[in-house]
Amino acid sequence: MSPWLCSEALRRRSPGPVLYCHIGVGSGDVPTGRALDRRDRVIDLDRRRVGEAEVAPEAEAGAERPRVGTVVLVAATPTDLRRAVPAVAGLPEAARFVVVLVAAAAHLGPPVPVVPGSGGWEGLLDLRVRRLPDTGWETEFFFADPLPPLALLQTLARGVTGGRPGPAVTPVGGVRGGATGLWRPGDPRASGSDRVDVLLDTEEPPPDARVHEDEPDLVRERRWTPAQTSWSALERPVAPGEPPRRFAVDDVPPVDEQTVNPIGFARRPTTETGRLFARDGRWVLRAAGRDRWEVPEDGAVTDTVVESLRDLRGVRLTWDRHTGPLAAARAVVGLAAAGVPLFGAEPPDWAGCLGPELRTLLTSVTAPDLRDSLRREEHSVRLRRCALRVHGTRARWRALGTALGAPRSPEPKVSVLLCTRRPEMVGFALRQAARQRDVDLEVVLGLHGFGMDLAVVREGVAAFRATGRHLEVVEAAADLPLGTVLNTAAARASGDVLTKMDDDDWYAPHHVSDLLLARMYAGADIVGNAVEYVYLEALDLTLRRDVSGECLARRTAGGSLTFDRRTWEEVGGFRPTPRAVDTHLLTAVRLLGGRIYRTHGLNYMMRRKAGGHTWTVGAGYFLRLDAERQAPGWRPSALMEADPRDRPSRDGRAPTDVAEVGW
Amino acid sequence: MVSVPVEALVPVEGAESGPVEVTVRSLLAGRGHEVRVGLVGAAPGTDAAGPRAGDGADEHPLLAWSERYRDEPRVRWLSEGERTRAEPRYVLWVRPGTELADDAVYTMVRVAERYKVALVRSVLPGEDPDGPRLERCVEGASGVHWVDGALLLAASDRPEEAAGESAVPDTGGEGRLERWERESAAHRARAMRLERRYRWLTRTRPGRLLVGLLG
Repeated sequence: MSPWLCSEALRRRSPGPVLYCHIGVGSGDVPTGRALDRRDRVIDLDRRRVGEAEVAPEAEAGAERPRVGTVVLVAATPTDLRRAVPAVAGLPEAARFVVVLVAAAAHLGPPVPVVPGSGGWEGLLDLRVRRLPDTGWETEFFFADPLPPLALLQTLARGVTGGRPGPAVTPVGGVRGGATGLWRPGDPRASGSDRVDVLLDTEEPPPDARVHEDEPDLVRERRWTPAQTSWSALERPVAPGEPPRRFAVDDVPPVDEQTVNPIGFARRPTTETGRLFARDGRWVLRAAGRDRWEVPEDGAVTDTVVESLRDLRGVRLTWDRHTGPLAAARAVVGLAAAGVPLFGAEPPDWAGCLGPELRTLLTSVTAPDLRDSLRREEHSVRLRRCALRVHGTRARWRALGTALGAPRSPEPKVSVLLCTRRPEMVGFALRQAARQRDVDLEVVLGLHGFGMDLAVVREGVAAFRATGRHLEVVEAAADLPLGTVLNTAAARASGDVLTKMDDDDWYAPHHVSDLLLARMYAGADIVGNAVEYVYLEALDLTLRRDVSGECLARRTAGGSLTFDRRTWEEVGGFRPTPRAVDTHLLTAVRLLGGRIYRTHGLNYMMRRKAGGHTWTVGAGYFLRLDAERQAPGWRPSALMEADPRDRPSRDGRAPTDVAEVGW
Repeated sequence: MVSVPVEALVPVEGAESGPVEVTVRSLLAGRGHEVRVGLVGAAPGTDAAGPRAGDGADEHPLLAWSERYRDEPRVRWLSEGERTRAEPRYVLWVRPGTELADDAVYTMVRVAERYKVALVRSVLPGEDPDGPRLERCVEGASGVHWVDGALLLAASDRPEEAAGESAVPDTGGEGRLERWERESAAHRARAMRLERRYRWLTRTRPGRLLVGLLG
């Protein structure tokens, strides 16, 4: 943080003292000299403990609220800004706020606040957002009446990540001690401003704790911060109240998936493999002859760190000792959640808190394997999937809720909209839906121009129902347009999330669950796959197109569109047209200001048959679009986990045998 | 690219003269490589071609047309397995009636050499691939590369959406996306250099001194 930036932030002082807060690595260069006077206060939010009174603020109701003239918050990155949200609870109100983001990943939006729906901003006099030199931002607010910092920061944190807020983190939890933002980033309730179901203590509760004494049933759980679990602390004999010597998965502070996620994954690395090793007791990531990242003591991974490492082919873990096991594990899971291709030797015992699946994945590839771009991306997808599902904030709190018996919201139910004009494809299409893993799913099958009286349809439906999942059948006349049939199917669906599947395309077993993950971290209104793999049946040829994934986009595969039921309602459903329904839906969402996110393309393979498509383009269209990488036969990615029954056959002849192919 | 010998084979068995002429004319008008055309099938006037002209039966449909190419050394009648030249570098099989663009042969040779494949196959708009399915033989050996046949057709036959497209990316080894990414990274790096320079010149004592001296 440049002192100049701080001085700029403080130059236009309002009457009254300044409360100068900072959080994150690189934000701590507090201005000196005349910038701050003796009345001003400096608070390091990384060290601030959200006190007892702040956990139960209702105890102070009626008291005169303290005020300051200006609150300045300097956050190193958007990840730190989100951590700051619960950490500022209880700070005095102010009429002027200056929020400085020292740096931000390019894919994150400017810190433009999302005005709260409940009002409270009628007194806004001035709002200014400006870009700072390099990649930082400054947002300045003037209000006629003072506001608490918590209310303001919450709106800014939402503005930076943008899009939909995503599913709530449940159970509702509070965190006591100095790690509030670590465990519930971006959550204004984490400081205890409202009633909570679970309370995490990250420090020993004082003997006279009065916290929630009116809630005898409140579940309390002890956790340790990375600072409390340094190697030196752990090497002492265990004393009462001290952390254990081995940690479980649930002990690791979770990854904030809103900012540390696969967005921006680079498929073409420009730098060779880096190495994460210890120097003077701290991990350092070194690549191409220079230090790229000095891992902070607490192992925090931020959006800017991830962005700066996107050019690496992979990162080798040496498993030297970092400051402590929790800090080291936090760094590893953060990088894994972002899809940085990590690998290394067998993890030591202290890394058991990574979880068995992640430990196995880390040893599943070697540096030569990552030279193959496809293998590298497959490894990255497996890592991020595992890390987000096990170590993401929502996953961590869900697991805590399960373990502690606390109430939590159910997993979203997904309804697959599957409409077909081809009875012979019903069995195949339902098998694609049936093989989906880790998701609560039902299928609404739209029979377009035929009915259940056909034996081949009955067989397919019976086989799907035998899996135990629900299937709803919608029969529609042949002369109805596709959009109308899809709307009928959507109206019959009972899921919170709707996903569209085509009757002839191939879907990997984690297709839907990966889309749900993307929906969560991208805050998008519609998520879908990149159309990377296209199988041209007439030519028995697989094209691997050069389509960027893990990014916001204007288009995504029509056979993978996934959206909330609410989005479908907001755009008025599918257009009642016989074709191009996907394009109409995407356009409608875009025109409403919605966000479309395209994930990777390894879970999906489009099939172009000789006939029977509503989209009547020939094989030549795809060859013209992108014919750079093509291989004979049917060659999906390894993530497809191809089922032999679903392999294509042409003229009764099996396609060219699947073999290793150098794309 | 150096001119290479190419043999174009046009199966004319049962074909009308019009389509054959269209194809042969477009092949001979092509540029870039030395193309010879072999009309595969029994030549008019031979026993194998059926009843001779003037003996009361219908004339061979290509008889009149073939007279026009009597003195064209680049066009020959061939029987199955025969070749127009000893060792053509490439053999092009093309169906009668296909009017190729003048750079079609050049493009296909470029595709073959760029992707280092033994066979370049094209698929014409709205049709299944026809002709001998050679790709089933060469796949395991030295590879096949498919191109959109629309991009090889003369402008008049080319579908509207394929106008202006090329079967070979114009970047000589890398995709357009990669080129743009490289260019944007270079621009970004330059912008950052300029920003650093600006900051040094405006916010440091030596920088301001230098600006003052230079005016």
